[in-house]
Amino acid sequence: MSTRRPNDHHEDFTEFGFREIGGDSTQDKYLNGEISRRSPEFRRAFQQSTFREELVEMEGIVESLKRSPKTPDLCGSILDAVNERRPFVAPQGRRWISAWRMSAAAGLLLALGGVAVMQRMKPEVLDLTPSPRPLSTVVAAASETRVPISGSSVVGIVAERMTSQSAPAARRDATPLLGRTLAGLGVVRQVEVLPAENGWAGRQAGGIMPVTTELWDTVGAQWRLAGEGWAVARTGSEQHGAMVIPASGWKPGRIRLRPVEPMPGALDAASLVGPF
Amino acid sequence: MLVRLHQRSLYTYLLRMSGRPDVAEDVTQEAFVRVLTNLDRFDPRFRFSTWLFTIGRRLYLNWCEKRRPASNTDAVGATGNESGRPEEGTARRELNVQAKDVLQRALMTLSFEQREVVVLFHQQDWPIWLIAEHLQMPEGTVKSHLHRGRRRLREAMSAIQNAPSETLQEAWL
Repeated sequence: MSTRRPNDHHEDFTEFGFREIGGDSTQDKYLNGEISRRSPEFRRAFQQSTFREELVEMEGIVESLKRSPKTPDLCGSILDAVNERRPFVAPQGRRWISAWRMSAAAGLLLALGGVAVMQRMKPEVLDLTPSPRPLSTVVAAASETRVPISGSSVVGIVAERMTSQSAPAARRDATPLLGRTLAGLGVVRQVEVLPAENGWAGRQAGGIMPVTTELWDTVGAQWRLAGEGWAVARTGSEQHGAMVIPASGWKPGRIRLRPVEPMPGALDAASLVGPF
Repeated sequence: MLVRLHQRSLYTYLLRMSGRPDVAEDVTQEAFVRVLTNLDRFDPRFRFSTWLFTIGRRLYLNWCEKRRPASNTDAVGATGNESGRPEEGTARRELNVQAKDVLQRALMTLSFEQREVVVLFHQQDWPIWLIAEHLQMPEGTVKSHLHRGRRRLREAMSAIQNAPSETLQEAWL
């Protein structure tokens, strides 16, 4: 028995084969939205009666496709099925959750309000940055502890004092910056970083130019210069002219600091250096 | 809200694909349950509807796969199923009995890909690029499926309208 199926007269589908049979016909282009009714191509094709008939027929089919069949409301069954697999929180539980959220939000607001009030009434309590101290205090502290002013001892004091008195933020940093230590001194205006090739002895010989000179206000991340050289910090104050800090291998408590006499005019680093 | 917004489009898509309201309903429900229980996996860079349709389509294919008779693999080819989709033969046979409207019967003469592309484009109003992305095929292939699907749909419609139902049924089988 020969049975003819509607599919039999169609070629086997391949994309290449399709292109050969004219998938880019005017009707396709129009139905795909690639050309409009006003395009010359469409107008030309529309003059042919077969084109018109086929188009009308096709548009009728498309229209009937767009008419959606009646859709049942599946919300209830879907939510029931979801509840079966992952049960929803009971209404009482939901109330507890919302109450808990409300109280947490209220607590947070209260805490923020308290901080704001505290900030206004007693700002020093919430101030986390170390307060600036003049170099004279440091020197005085060094004298009080009867440690000879020879580098490591003095700086040891500085570092200890800074660590114990400064804010927790400063303590958190495992490798505090040279600049941070200097910030504690408060009176430093300018800092020079010198190369370390020749060591301290070479620096003493003089004639080595600074790698960089920075105003105190601008020093920042580049002060992570441990191991790069010597730093000369100028205070510019009348009481204390400058101090010399070797940046190499600097760690809290190991930094070597030497306070020097006030220097009028330009700083001559070599003249500031004394034997440690 | 999410369900109300999308249930209609998914249901009608599945209904047109399967031709069976009960299947469309079951698969739609299951798709939404999967979506709602896995909302954390949704990638907001993509459209929600595309994600939902991907899940719905996969579930429908699974359903078709389960319904395929294990020993009757040759029947797929015998029904003239050019797409090679396993459900075509079964679905077509069932539809000849069950489908009432001409359009649905004509739709079921299309291959799976043709039907899907035609439904997504003309019923769901998806642009060609989105269909190509969704079905992971080049835009040219989508267009060719559209072309052939429309042509076959028109032919099937006129055949159904002109021929007595017994003759047609025989012809398809």
